[in-house]
Amino acid sequence: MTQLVWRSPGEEATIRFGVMLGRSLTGPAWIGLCGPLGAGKTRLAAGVARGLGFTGRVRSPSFVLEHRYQGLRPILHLDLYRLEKDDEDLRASWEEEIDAVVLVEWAERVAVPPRGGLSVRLVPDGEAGRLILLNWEAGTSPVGHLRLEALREGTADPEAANPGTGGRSGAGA
Amino acid sequence: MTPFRSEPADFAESAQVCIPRFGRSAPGPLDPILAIETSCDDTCAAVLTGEGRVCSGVVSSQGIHAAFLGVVPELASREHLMLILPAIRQALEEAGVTLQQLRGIAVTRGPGLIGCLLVGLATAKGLALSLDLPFVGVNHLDGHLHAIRATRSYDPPFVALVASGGHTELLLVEAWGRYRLLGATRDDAAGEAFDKVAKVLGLGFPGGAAIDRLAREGDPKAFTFPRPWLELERGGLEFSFSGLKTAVKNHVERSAPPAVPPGGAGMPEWDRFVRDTAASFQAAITDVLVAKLAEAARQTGVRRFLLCGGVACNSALRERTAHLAGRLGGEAAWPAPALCSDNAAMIGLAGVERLRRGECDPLSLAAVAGLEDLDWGTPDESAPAGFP
Repeated sequence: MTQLVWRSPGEEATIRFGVMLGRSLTGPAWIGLCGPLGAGKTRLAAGVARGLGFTGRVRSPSFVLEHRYQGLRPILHLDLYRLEKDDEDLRASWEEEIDAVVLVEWAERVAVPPRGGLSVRLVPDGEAGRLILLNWEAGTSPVGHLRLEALREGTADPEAANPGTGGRSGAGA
Repeated sequence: MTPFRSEPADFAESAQVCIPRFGRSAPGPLDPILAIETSCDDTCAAVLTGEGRVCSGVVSSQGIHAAFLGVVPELASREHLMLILPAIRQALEEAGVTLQQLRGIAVTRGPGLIGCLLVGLATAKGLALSLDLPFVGVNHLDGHLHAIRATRSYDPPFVALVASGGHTELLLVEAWGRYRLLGATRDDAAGEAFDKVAKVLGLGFPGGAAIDRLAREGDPKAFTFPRPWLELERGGLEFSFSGLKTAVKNHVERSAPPAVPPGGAGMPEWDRFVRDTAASFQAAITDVLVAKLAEAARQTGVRRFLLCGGVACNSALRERTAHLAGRLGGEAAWPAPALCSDNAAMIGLAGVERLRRGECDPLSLAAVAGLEDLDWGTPDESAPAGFP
């Protein structure tokens, strides 16, 4: 059920995509970030936080498990790198965060993502390039429709005006 | 209706709120102090004296609990709840001290996992209230800086590198309690890079010690990994280790023979590849860390160094920092290995001076998750002369 495919030629473009995604969020959201070590999950999370107006540092929470930031709304940045197995208690990490944008790295380790969650998969495409695949259940997206169109066209962010950096949209499969 | 405000406006304000203790004076040099640390997934308790002598230290590592699968913040805080009182009891027993003999409590208030911090903080407050003891909240990183004082006196000024799985911060310590942040990581912490590289090489977790050991037998020039200098030539003191980690991972994936057994055991070529990769990676990361220490020394004019946090156990980093200090005519130091990783003794060492001055934080003291939101303690100018 791939809804959107975006091609990132490198780290900077991945961050820019995150900024666009962050700006497209019109409410609380749960965003699962999947992909292998070094795929750019933390970079994308940093972009989303910046897109939500947070100006401080966004660092990998692999070892400290979670970071919290305050942007236009609270941001909870979780990392399941050290999690060996999904657990019922994992849900408690975000269930009470009703106002927050929850970013979950290594989200492939979540057996049952919350309803309405957005999945972002980063697939290495050459040494530095990445394919960014967005998935969500039809009708439950936290990404507003108008903004979604902008995201599809890669024009939501003036910094991303460079036509070489994105805008490759894929039809739902 | 005026909203009731239970919290002080900020930490700096709250730190000045010193409630006089009735019936009890500030702890003396030989009086026992209890220290508690629960910021991440280790439940730690320690007993030390007012003059900073560590009497006992307990670290209950949650990872070794069979029933505990992986690390989830919610579970970690529940584990703390189960482990905290046994840890305190054991620390008291090992020190030969009873609860009633305690004269103060120091506890980590942040940065860390909010649910985990709350367990330690609430325990400290409960004990302080019931035993009528002063308690002080301590910045976790301030604790790491003070760990050195368990074994020797090492007084500021110095340039400190706090490097662990969760932190990479370069600080100028002008005086105890007076710190200037010079640089920090923009993405992965140094210890995180060590552990993720170790995992890619099949060395298990945590893997910092394994990398250190294997690197001694490997060729640091066998492979060339990127050095993330981040504008060092223009005085940049920031770090970034995410790209280095990815470069090592790509290198291993390109080079690994198919069907390598776990750890590549018994395959001489693979063993040598692992040793050389470990040595080359360690050379790259220590090149950067030591170059930033040298640049920090150049900018501040301070030629004394302190390594702390888990990465301070790395032998190559120690040797090269000592060499740098020697070259500059300065000095380098690091805590005992057991006190490099998270522990409660360091929290006690960081908090004991305020207790000695008769200070006490209010029972409304809040836990703070983020480093940026946390004050770095108060300057130590009014500390009793000759401490410790």
